[in-house]
Amino acid sequence: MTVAPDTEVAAQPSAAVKAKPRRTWYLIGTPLLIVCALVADWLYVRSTHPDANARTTLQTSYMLSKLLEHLELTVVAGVFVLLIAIPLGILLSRKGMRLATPVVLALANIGQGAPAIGIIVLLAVLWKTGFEVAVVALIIYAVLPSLRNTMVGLQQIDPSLKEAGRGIGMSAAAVLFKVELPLAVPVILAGVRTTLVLLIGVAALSSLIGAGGLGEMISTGVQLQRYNVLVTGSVLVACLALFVDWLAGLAERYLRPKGIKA
Amino acid sequence: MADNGNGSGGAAHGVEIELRNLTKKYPGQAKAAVDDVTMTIPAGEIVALVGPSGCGKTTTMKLINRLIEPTSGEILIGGEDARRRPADILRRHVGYVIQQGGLFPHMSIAENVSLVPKMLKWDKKRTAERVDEMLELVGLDPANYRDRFPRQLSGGQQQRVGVARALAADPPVLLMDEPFGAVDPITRGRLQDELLRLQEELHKTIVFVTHDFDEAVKLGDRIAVLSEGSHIVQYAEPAEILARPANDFVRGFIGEGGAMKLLHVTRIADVDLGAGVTAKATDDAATVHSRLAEAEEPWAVVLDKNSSPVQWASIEDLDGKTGPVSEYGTPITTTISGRADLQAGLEALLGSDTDFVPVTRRRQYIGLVSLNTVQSAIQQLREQAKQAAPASVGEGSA
Repeated sequence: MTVAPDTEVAAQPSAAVKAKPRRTWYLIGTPLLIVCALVADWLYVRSTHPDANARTTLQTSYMLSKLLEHLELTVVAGVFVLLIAIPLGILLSRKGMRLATPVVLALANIGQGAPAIGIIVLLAVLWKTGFEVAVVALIIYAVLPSLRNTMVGLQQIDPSLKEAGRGIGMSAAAVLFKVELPLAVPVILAGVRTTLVLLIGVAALSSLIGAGGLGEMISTGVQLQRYNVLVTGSVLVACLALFVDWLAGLAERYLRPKGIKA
Repeated sequence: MADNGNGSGGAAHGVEIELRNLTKKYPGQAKAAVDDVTMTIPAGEIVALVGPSGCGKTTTMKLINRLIEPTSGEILIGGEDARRRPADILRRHVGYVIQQGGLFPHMSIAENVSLVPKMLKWDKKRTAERVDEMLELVGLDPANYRDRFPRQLSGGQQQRVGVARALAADPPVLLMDEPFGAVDPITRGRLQDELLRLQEELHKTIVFVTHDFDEAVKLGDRIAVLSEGSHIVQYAEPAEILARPANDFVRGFIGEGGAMKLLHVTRIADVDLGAGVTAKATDDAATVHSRLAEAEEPWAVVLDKNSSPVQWASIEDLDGKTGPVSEYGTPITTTISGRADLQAGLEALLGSDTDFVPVTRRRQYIGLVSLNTVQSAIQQLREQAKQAAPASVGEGSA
């Protein structure tokens, strides 16, 4: 992925706006898949008869603490991404900010275009190691989808609706909050969903700079050559990503304003 | 003035709109989009702004509610300078209808209609009542439609809700920007009829932008034909524009069949109708026969006791007959209301197998329309237009 903001923006709307019509089995399908993956992993680990070294890592309490660390990284970075991306997206969709749009999108593209591991390590080298640095790296990496979808979501609104709002006497702010944002919700949520899934995946790399998370299990597995640990760590990250995607999907489904076609 | 338009009883009637030397020039453009327009839109009338696309008619309309700020000039609404109030506040007192209603898809019909009353801080009960009242006014059953979403409605229904929303806070002035442009011709005709019916009740001042001259003729009490830069080429009543177009530009805009369109703007009841020979159902056939012979008319119209025309009785039918006239002749199948326009009258004539069609007002017979009636009415309209003072010609040229 290179810096090509124009094509990115042009390509996004169709993908973002469609936001995949989902069927009911989706509700059960993903959790079922997660349970199957966890059970399969458990059976696999049991069949490998883990030694003492592996067992320390495969303890429930240890795995739970890593899972919580992972979630903490994701949630903190996620909150910051939303706090940055949504207001910035709104700002960039206002009249008079059109000129700034390509610049900001280019920056966000660099963030996502650069290899995640590169950002994390570079930041650690330039700054320090630990949680804060990992969060900053995650924000840089995952801000683009939310930002872009906020902008696209607002831009795709029929201009005549905005004018109708102003025409009946709504203030610019009222049009934004009562018309534009509610109508952009489905697209914005689709971006947030992408952001969250990206964050789960990339947060696995933050163990490299001592920020914890499920990535630790993976690196431990590699270092000790305990494949059961490595596989369990990977399965947990994947399941967490699926689960968050599923939750965000539910949110998309139920937070979509009534009256808008799915 | 607009603020006292509350309560369901005392609806706010229209107020006059005056545009004085109104100009809108966009930066970087040599020509003004709206160039020094001065016009008065009388209170309670529908004024249609027509002109080719890009002539500035929509811009002119948006200057009135300040969706576009004028470069110079004045707008007076009910004698009050529109620029004195903040634009948002002003617009809450000026109804605004756009194509397809401009309804917000994520809000229910009731929410859409209640937007302006809510902004004006009406209490909940009054707002809810007003929503129902408005939906009824535009012919949508509130119980059925209140909680629906716009996409569950047809284009025509959405357009009605758009009108209901614009009227909800009872503004004296209504701006309509090609509101019926996106619906099929049949629905459009119905919506136009309904707007006229509403206007009979409400007497708002309506500025109606359209590029469809026929629509302007049908709806407008007056028509302003605009050319580039919103120059007023002619501003007059439809009949006058049709009968006496100011120049070739207007003539071109009227298009083919100006005389046919003239038929559209004239009500049958307003022209000289033939009286015909009438008879009561109980009249004696022989008497009616002699009256027909005396008047040298071939047919008599037989009226029932409510004065509704029911039968034709020809002089041959009655020849040598006695007894009540109602026993002879053929039933009348086609009648036409005096409120219909001459075009409808002509159609009724062409579709009927008689040379005359009885005209009624509230079902009561008022006369006969024939091809002759139509023809002489047109001639008369032309004469009237020629005698009228040439005051309506604008200063602009094509």
